[in-house]
Amino acid sequence: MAEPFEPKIVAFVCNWCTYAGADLAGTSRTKYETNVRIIRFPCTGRIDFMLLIKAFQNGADGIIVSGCHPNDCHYTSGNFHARRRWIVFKSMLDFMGFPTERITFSWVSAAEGKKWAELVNETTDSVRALGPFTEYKNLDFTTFNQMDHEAIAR
Amino acid sequence: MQDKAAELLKNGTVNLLIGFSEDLGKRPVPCFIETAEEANILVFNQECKNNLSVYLHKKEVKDAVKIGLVSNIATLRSVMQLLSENQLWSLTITYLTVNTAGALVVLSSAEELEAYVQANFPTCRAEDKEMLDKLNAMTRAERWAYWKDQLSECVKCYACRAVCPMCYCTVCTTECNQPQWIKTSAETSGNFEYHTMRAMHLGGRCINCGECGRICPAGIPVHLLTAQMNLEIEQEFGGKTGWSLKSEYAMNSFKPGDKENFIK
Amino acid sequence: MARIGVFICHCGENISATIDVEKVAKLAGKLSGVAYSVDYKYMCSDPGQTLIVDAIKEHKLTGIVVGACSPRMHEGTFRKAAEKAGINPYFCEMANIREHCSWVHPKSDETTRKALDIVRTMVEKVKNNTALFPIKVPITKTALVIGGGIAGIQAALDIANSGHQVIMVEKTPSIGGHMSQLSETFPTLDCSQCILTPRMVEVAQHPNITLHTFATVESVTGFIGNFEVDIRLKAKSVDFEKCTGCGSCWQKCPSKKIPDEFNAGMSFRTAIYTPFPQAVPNKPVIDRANCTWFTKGGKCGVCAKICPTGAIDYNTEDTILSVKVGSIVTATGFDIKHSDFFPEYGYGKHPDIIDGLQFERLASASGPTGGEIRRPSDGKEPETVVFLACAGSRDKAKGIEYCSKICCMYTAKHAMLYKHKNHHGKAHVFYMDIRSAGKSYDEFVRRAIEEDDVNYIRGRVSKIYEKNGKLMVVGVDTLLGAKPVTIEADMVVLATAVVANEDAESVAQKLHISYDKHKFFAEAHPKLKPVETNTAGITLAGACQSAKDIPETVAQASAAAAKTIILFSGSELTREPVVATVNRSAAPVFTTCTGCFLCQEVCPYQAIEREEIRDRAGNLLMNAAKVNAGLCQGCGTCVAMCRNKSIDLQGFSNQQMLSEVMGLLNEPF
Repeated sequence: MAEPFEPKIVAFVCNWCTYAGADLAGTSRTKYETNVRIIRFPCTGRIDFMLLIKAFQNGADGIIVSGCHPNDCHYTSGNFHARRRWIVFKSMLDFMGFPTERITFSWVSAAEGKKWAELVNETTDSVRALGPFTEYKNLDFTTFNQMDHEAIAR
Repeated sequence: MQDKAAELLKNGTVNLLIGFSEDLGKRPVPCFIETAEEANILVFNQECKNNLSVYLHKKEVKDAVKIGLVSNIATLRSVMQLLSENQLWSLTITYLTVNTAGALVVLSSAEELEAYVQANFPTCRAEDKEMLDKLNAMTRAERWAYWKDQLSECVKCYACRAVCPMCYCTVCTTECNQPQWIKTSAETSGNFEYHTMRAMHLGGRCINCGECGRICPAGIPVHLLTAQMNLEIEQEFGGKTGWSLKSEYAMNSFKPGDKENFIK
Repeated sequence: MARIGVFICHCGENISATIDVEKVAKLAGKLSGVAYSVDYKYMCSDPGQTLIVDAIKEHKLTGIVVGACSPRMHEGTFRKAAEKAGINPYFCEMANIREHCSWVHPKSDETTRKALDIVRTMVEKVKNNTALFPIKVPITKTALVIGGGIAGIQAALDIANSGHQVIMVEKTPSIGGHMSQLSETFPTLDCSQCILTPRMVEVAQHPNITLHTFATVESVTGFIGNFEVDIRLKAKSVDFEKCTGCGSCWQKCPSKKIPDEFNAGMSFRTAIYTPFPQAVPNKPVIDRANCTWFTKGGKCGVCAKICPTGAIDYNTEDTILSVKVGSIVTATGFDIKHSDFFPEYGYGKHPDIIDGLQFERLASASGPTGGEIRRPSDGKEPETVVFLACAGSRDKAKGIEYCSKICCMYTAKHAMLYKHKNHHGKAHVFYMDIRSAGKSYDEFVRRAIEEDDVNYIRGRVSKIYEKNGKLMVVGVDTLLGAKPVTIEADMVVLATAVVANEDAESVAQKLHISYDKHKFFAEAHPKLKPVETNTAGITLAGACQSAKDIPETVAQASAAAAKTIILFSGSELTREPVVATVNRSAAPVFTTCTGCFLCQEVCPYQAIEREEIRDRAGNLLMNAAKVNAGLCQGCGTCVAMCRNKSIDLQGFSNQQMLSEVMGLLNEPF
């Protein structure tokens, strides 16, 4: 019997705000879904968009990118640069037909433990509803499937 | 133009002139001349579409220092963008171009170049706009199917990178294998990665000469990716590419008031 | 070949209650590159740390992952343990399986699986870690204090008393700042100059303080611990070595009609002058712009003739003094708006409509009226004085949306001083709110209302005009249902907005510090770093950062001094090595950096410099980016910006971050 689909969510977060917010959710024992795994960065400005693509390519079904609220960046302006990068990246992905609703961007501060838990739950629910992210994995398999295997076997 | 080129080469203003010459009835091809006598092979017409500024990164050209560049408006804009990114500091370039009235224009300094470019700034090409509108009118799933179809044809020849004047990195990310960011084989997913990365790196820097799409041997309209990016960036953040000697790159600046509607 | 040690902590029951820690340790031991894996009840305890140290030595581990609480708690603890065991502390990473796993999920296989995933992610990262060593930057233990008001004075004294050298630069001929212009200070009404001048003298006489007055900062280069500052010593035209401060010169100076800045333009001074009698240093300078000798080609010269020591020298020029300092305290102060910001209030149109500083000078015993409140127009005592609070602050439409903080208090003070000197006078204050939040502040305002009979009217003034020799102040009383009120005043005092100095922007640009749209200097973090700026080594003190009163200014100045003393307390400045570096290799490649310098623009700390790479003949081969490790704070924005990955962040390198992502996903989730 096949197990029900549980999405794999990777979260790229900044150390000073969202990571601390997730810590606060932990200290407050706020319960949330288990599907998310956090990767820690010093600042959202450090998050390379290639990492998001790599994550999807290697099995992630959904991604959360989160950092400090504008004006609160520990390094003053990292999140402003990140914001511009995300605006452009998201519109590019939209243009290429990529399902950008699988990526959730947010600002979660170190005091918003509850917001973090809610964010994880919401994202997990919505990605679960979208189903596994097969389109990306099938990019390469489509051409294979279309090949005439019998002809090749002959 | 031939006379002017000959003059510049003769009086030493220019050591190496990059221009176009005929190719046995086919489209004009780039040529490199070093003496006044060779100047009579130069041509310039509507078929001269290549963006010759890409040669400005080559070692042989850099060694010549004093360069003459036969340019269409796209080439001039590329040079402006390169100047704003500190790339052409070792070269002294004289530009030969033909304005809309058909007259020869000679530009000898960066300031003259800026003034000319700003006075003759082109709009988005009609055929590109048409394709972009068509793509933007499709549903997202249709666009995914379109690009999947197109990018499955890509063989990773990197011709698009080779012809682009803005791709001047001595060691491209694709060549980095510690870590291996982009898959080198020509699988569709790797192609998707490569073209996404290239479009992101060019967003806000590309001047839409369209060369990459024109020369793709697989016929993929890759220039549409960067054209769309530039449209978005200009709409959201303002700033034009290939416009000013001072960098107006939207991606390394920000305004505290940048607006978005998708960050929770 | 990596030999990673994995140490899973039970944390008592905090982790083990929901996660099967033995299983995680066992499975972690099977991961590629892991040479040793164990679980224990309390890893952070002494025996727990000994366990780690012994394991590193016994199993020759090259790196460790501690699966326990958040790195924000104990990363430091375990890094020290690693160092004790003889490996570089940066080969230690923590897998957060408590705050991010055991505490937020129920006991289940899923939770245990997640813990293993988190551990595996960090194992993959550690395999790509490199040894990092704290960065040492030398320090010049001299401080520069820019500004000689109470903020600068306090900071200079604190630093000097700690044993370090201080250079103080003040642009006017005397230190003291605005505090020297005040008559009395709230909430105690003690004499401003009486409490200030002893401090001023202390600064002048302190062996560790070198004072340069009539001087400005010309340029600042360098970085924390190693600033090079050029100070412009303006030509005083007086040799301070010879001058005795006898005062014969300004008594005889024929140019007597220059508006006196110290008295806020309400009286005149001479061209050769000391700003006020208690000036420090108490020696005059010549205002060349208004001196006959300089403006009329050598005519006059009276002061030189009369000077008993021959101290006057008209031929001196500005000189530039170059100094090396390790830290800069910016205490350049503020100004108040001296303009008809509200034209309807008539400032500038009538001499009896004055601003707060002008009233201070009237009330001051050393002022133009000897401390008596008299109308500037005819010298008579005013019988009715109206004070307008918020005459220019808290007004978004007029561009000053902030509150100037000190006006409610000084308006109450002015009203009280007026009443103390003119017992039969009437004082009215038009106010919006009363902001008296400091210690004894509200009691002070109540004293004005209850004991000194000052009439407080809650409402704003719409217009002031003259009629029959009286100033008609037309306002409204909102506590009486917006009843219109017109008061016939003899004098009006406007509490105008506190604003940044005119040259604030150029000072900030010279120092490379940020400022806001009102030109107040920007602090590094509004709550947790109120005295530091984003430029390492430069601190702020006083009203140059935002409007504030004297107690806050003194506190902030001492804080800035403390930051400086902390910096000077070590022999070198040691910084965390999580910094960016741009790759370099041998000729002919040198670096993959293409010199586009897009990274330089995004760095909030100006930590990226241009390096010119030349061949042996001196020809310029290329320009490449270089990171100043002393300034870099390790945010990594430059790394994400670099197209060809020439710049990388130690501790969060591209290799490390990618291996974390891949390590996480390339195994069953």
